[in-house]
Amino acid sequence: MLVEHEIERDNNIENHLILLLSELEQLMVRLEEKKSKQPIFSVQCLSDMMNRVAEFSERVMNIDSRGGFMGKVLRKVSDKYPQMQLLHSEGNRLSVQTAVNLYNGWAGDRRERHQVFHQICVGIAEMVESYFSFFANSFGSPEMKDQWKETYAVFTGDLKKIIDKFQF
Amino acid sequence: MQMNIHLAKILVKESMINLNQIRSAFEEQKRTGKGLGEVLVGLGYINESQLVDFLSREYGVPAVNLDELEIEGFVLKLVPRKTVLEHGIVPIGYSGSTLVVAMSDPSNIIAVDDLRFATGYNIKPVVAPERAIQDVIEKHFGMDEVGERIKIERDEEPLEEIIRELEDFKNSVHNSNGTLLSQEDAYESERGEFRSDVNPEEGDVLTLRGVISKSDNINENEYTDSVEVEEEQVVDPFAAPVYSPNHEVAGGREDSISEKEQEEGFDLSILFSKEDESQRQSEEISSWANQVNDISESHSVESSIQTNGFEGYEYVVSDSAGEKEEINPFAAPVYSPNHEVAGGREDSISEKEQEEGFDPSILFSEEDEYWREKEEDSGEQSQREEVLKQTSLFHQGFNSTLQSEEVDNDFALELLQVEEAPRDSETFLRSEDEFTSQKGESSFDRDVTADVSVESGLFSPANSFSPPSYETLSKQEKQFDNPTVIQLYREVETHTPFEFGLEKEQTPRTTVLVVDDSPTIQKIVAITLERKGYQVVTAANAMQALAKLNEVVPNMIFLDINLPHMDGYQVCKIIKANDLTKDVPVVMLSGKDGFFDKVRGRLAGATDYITKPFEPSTLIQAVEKYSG
Repeated sequence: MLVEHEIERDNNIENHLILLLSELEQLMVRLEEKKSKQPIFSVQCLSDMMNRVAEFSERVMNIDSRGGFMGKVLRKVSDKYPQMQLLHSEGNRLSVQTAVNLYNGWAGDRRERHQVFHQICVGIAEMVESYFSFFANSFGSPEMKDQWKETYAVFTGDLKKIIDKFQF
Repeated sequence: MQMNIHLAKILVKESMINLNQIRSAFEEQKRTGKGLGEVLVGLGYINESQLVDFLSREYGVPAVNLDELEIEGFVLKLVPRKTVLEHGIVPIGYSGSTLVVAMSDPSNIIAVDDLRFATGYNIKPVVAPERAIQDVIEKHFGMDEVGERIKIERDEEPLEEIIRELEDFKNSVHNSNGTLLSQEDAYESERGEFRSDVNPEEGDVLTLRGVISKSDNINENEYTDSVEVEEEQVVDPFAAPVYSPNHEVAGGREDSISEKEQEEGFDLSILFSKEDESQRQSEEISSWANQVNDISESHSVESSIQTNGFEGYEYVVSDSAGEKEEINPFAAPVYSPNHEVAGGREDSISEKEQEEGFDPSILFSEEDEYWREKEEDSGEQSQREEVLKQTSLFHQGFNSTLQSEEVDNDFALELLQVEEAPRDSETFLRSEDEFTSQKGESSFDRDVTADVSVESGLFSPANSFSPPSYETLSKQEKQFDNPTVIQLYREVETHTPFEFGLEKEQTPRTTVLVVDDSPTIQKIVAITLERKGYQVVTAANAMQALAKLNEVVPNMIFLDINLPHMDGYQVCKIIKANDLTKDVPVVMLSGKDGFFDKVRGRLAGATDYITKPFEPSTLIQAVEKYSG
């Protein structure tokens, strides 16, 4: 049974999360609009998304930016997607500059390029998912925890669907 | 080019430059592709800091010296390069949800709107010289694809026409005997553009002053100057116009306007002509405004657009009586009980009615009539009929499908699979979509008793039923020839709805329909409203929404503008054309906070407009406000 301050905390997190998801959804709309016109924009847009989530984690969830949470998440995802090693965290924010430079200077096979950048995009989406998982587990109420896990699944599922349509 | 004309006019008006200088500046601009301000500075007609100071005062926004400003790389990345190049703007900082953007023309609402949409931030414009902006763009965003200096695209307009327009404008200003306000009004009403309120005390104020009784046979020189506005009021641009009782309603068209009426009259079309986002929208608005104007041309309105702490624009309308009132654009028209509008048109308003005031509701009946006519003209009517026809076919097809036992069995199997399926995101998303879609559709138009029977468990296979003998049947029962139907009839007759579980709560819950193609939005709106005890029904597209509306009439509807197959405006029109749903408040949801989006929503019959991203409290307030 939750005590009053825990309920209040849950409600506060939820209110902020709704706004965050609403903002991220708008970024997702932009992402979908731009996917065919500026492929590399997708990577930048996804990193913006990731950085907003990171900023949220510090502001609302009180994650210490000096703790290197972002770096840990990035390393974890890099184990699954080696292409993510092209990315690095800087002051607890994701930087995709190296990847963008690589894209701009790419002279090799186009299919290979598509594969590399698709994996990077999926990797960033999984980073967002990792943060969301952390947020969901912060709820004291099991009901809210489950509901938000579902909500995140909807969001990341939608995001991955869009990523699958990218043509790098 | 429009922006250039605007700048040219305010500079000519302030006698900072003359027409010859403008002419040579335009020629130079055509040759170099630079902005007008930059060219004027380059030709030495005006000093750069003088120009920036002037624009800062003119638009009531701060000036910024980009040469001495270090812009963080992260900030620059907040705006897509394309948007930077397209509008010639530079992001220079942000605070919370507000992005500060340097631009040479802070009145460029289209740029502000695009930026807001592209970044998701509220936009706070500050003014900076074009040259400095170009330097920053070149430094941080590089050259364009051909390695040349980046040029902002401008529409070409014949130079002579521009000069003639400026000459006309100058004449109108100099020939007028009126006050500064009247000169400005003449200019503003001519172009319907924004005028800056040059009052340093007021800070961030952009004012649009519209005057006012420009009749077909009155040229710019004949604009009157008697509009005295003492106070301003903050209103939303879509509010039902509020008319002061001391304004007489003219019976005829503008060519019959008396002098007094010219002084007091107003032209609402000027409110809309500035933001010429598209030809079609502009035509729609101006036609609508003309309709309004036909009725209310003897009223004078001063309309201001204020930057509200850079949170966005607010629209200020005050009448010549100087009264202040906040107006919500989507507020329902105010009906005055003592005003009966016979025949709907202004020429049928009695003298007493004119004295006592004016019922603005007629504006909307006029407006509705106009749009109906326009729709018919443009073929929209046939399009709407086609949609209704398709919807009807969709329903019929679905109903016939539902009758198939096989489909029901499949559906039951699907339900079981959904419950047992692993909750990974892909599976979840797919299964949830199917589940939502089928669950919603499965109960669609089915016999209510069948649903009741399932819910109540009264007709489970275990609940055996022996066919009654014919003699024992009541008169009503004898009309049925099927024992099962007789059983259903008996159960329905002998059980109250409460026993069937139809009304488990004493008071019915407020139902909200959310129509949005984004599952994320559906989910977060559902979380927000269900926490407050509201019942949420969701639909992902127009077809689903219309099907749901046949199933349940909600207390209100949140309707996304960008939907697959058919946009939210069309859906709204269909909802409003249906007798069952026409009174259901529709609140549009959009990622754009555009003026025209709001107007279009209003014209389609929407009650209000919420911009994404939204806070939970915004949704709850809307439901509390409209669902009652």
